[in-house]
Amino acid sequence: MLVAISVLALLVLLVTQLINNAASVTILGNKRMDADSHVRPLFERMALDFAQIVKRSDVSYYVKTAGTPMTGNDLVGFYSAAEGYYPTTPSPISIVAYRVNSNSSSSVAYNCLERMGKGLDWNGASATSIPVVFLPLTIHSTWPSVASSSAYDDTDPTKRTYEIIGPQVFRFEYYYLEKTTGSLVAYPTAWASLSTVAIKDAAAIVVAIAVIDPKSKVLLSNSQIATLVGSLPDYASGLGPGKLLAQWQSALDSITNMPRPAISGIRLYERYFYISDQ
Amino acid sequence: MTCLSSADQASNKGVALIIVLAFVVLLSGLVIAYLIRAGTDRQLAQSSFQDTKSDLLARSALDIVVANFKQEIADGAVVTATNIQPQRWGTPLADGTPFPNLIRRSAQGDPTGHTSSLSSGPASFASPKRGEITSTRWNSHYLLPRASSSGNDSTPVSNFAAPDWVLLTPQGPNLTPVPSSVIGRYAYAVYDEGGTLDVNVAGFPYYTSSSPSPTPVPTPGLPLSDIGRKGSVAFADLRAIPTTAGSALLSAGGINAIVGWRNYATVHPYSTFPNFTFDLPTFVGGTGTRFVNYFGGNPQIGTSQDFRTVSTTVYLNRTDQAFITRTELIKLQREAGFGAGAMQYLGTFSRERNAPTWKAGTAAITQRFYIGNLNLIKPNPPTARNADIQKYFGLKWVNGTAGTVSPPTPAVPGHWQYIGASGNAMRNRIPAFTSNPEFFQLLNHAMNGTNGDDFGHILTTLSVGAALIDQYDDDTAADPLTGTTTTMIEYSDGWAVGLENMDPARASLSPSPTPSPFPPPTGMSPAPPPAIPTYAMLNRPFRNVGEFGYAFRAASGSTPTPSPNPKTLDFYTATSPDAPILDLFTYNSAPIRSGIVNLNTQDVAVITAILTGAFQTEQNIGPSPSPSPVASPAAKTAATNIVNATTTQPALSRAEITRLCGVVTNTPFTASEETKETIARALAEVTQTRTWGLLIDVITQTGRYPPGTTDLTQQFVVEGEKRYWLHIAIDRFTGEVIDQQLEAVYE
Repeated sequence: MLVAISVLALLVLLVTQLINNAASVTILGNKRMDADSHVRPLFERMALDFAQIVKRSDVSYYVKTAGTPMTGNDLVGFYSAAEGYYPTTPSPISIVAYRVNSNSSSSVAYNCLERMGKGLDWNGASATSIPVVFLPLTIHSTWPSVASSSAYDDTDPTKRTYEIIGPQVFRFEYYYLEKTTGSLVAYPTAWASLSTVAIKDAAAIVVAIAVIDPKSKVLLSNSQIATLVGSLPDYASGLGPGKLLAQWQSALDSITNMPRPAISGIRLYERYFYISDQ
Repeated sequence: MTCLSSADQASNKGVALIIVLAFVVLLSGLVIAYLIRAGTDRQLAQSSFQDTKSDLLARSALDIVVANFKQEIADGAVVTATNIQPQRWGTPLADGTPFPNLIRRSAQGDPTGHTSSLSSGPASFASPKRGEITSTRWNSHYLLPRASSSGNDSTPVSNFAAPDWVLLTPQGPNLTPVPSSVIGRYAYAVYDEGGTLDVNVAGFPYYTSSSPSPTPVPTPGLPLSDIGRKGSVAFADLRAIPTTAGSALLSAGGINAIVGWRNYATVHPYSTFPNFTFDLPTFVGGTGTRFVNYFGGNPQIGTSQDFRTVSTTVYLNRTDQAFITRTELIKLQREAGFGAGAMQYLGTFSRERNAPTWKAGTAAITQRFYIGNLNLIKPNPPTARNADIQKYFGLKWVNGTAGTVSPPTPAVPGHWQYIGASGNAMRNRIPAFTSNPEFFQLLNHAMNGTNGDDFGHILTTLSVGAALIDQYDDDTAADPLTGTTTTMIEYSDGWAVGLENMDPARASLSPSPTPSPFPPPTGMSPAPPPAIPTYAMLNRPFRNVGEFGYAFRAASGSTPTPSPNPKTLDFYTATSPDAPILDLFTYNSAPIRSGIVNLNTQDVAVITAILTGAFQTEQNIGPSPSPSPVASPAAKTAATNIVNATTTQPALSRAEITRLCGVVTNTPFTASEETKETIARALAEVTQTRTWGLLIDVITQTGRYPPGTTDLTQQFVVEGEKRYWLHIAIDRFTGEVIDQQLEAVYE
């Protein structure tokens, strides 16, 4: 009887271990799949937006330049032929912007990736709706929220055109593949400021994001996530392909003051969005 | 120790079995859920992968198509009438409805040798299968003639054959690949977008009277003189554009929607999109003035606007607009509600390198001469202008000297000396050049076909130049000493003079007899040549190079006296030695510009719109000019003849516009030299032969043939699809891609 009980206990132990290990593997796999399935539509959305980016020398862009280096999470704003929200007489052009919301008082969007997809009206369609504006009017002076990580485009929440597109994305960084040199750069050499941006200088925009799945995220406080954002360094010109993510992974591995399961649940992704005309 | 009964043992076994089965079910459930999720995830990943793959395939296909054009250019290094235009293939037979814009489509047996016999079109139009491209989709850009006369249905006329597939293997295009090796396919059609009117520039606003008596008739919102003098495709009358195969034309309302939207900050329209209204054309400072100032320059001596970017004018926190994509134009057409048939004649992308294609000798001219430089040439110019005058004209101003009674010496009027672009001594020849010629070098080059030292034609060339200056300047441009308004140019062997009909320094019996010699006391030498009543004087800046045709053309000898019917520069006969002038001068100083139409376009309506409204004569301008500006029907007849002529023998340069003038035989173009040259005045500034402006429509599909397939005609399994419209401008003479714009098409 004792032997049987011992054997049974041993079996239960083994099964428990087996189930635990299986659960760990499954959970890890699920986390990865969670993150993957979270990122895939996000990147697809970005691909559509960037594929239809308006590439002209007479419109402005809110992007990273020497004059707007963007420490930590980046901001990007541009015109795109992708459809947007709430135009009255919809033209085919929208403003698209991405940012990680930094407003700690925003319980929902804080530390989440937001996308602005503001549909624009036809020029002259109404006295109040502003259509696409060309230079000298700039995108960020006309719609200041594009240059903000917390402000919205409308005081009325029902009219805002921001949506949380990446609730698990807490770090958003981008850099460029420069057309003339073929090099990866924080920004093309000629881009001294927003007024000198020539989008055709960039063959591709490389977007890197850090994603934390919901189960891991609950292990961290918002302030810890904010600390994490600062721990993942900005892209510096000269880093080769994949080096930024390697730096990020190294930074994550060296973190010791946060729960390990949470840190190990962070996934890093990178994708090239080609914006070249050919 | 208690022994279990057999019943108990059986019961325990049953419990164990249930527990094991429960575990198995649980684990199976977990595994199945995991697999389902993984499967869904895989499908999504596969979809994303195919999307990226088809995108890369589409870009590769575009590379191949563009490379074919570049190769064609390289193969035809010597440009002739047979290769100035891209080779056409896959176009309909001559007896079918023509497709003026269609240059080529991927078609079995085409010169690439890559295209299969598999049509991209559906076997059954009514029920297309997945992966088959209907002709309606192929014409979603509306560049082909439509079958329907109403609505927005883009289905083309029935003789359009859908492009055939080019099959792709990992090694590239293959005409007859093994089915299992096919990884995708593409089909394409290429259109002459450069032969359409670029709506980022073309078209002007209309004014519609609010008084309905008898019916409100839209009239141009600009002074007729600005439209009639042309010089920019902005002055093309879009009301000449048909919207159906019948006689329906583009409405003024539709044009106003385009112009009001496009030039909102410039013209300040009233009301809202798409129902804009504009000022009366006579309202000084209103819509018309602002429009002309933008497109014609302010002052109207020329412009440096390349129209590749929009105006920087801001009005009510808005700017002007540009059609960023063709899709945007199509959507605007829907919003504005004008006939979709007009879309066949409208484009959104055009580029031209503003350099001549006519060539003689060893000259290497990379930029046309800017007509606005003529504004520098005013008698007794300020010192600061001298350097530019010498650089652009090779001239130096010399003050006049008064005459004396004793000894009797005539006054020498203030005049120009021809010293060339460098040096300070008068020349006895037109100096040689290879690049950056000054005005007279270029004029001589055009008229005499030489860029070497030319002693034989200096008098003629300087005289023509002087006559051009006299046409260009007004009656206030006078020598301060003698008051003569006639331009006089001294060179080391003599004098060349221009021609002014109103010269106060000319001894004249009528209307006020003046003493002879004039001016007192002893006259002047040289003296202005006699006036000619029939000589049309512009006395204003040229608005296009065709207006050079008003200038008196000296034949030979010094200061020849013009006959009652003076010979002016000839821009209306095919063999005219003056024809190259049309290609060497420009109203626009931009090195690369938009809004210039392919002179060899096969779109009759495009040429019609440009010709409509052109002034036949200079002397009857005003609100109600007589004769009236060229009407649309007459313009259409002329345009038909021109298109037929360029289809038979494409023009190599703008110089051949004189040949095209010769094929126009309908009224009002035949009355006189001036009316004949209406064609040259209307076309010379707004057409080009240098650039291939193409829209490449490519559809690619990634996928595979099912395993075991041996027949390529069997159903291809489509896994991803991508469509692009590549707008591209290629310099026919250098092979250089001047500019391009890739438009992703989402349907």
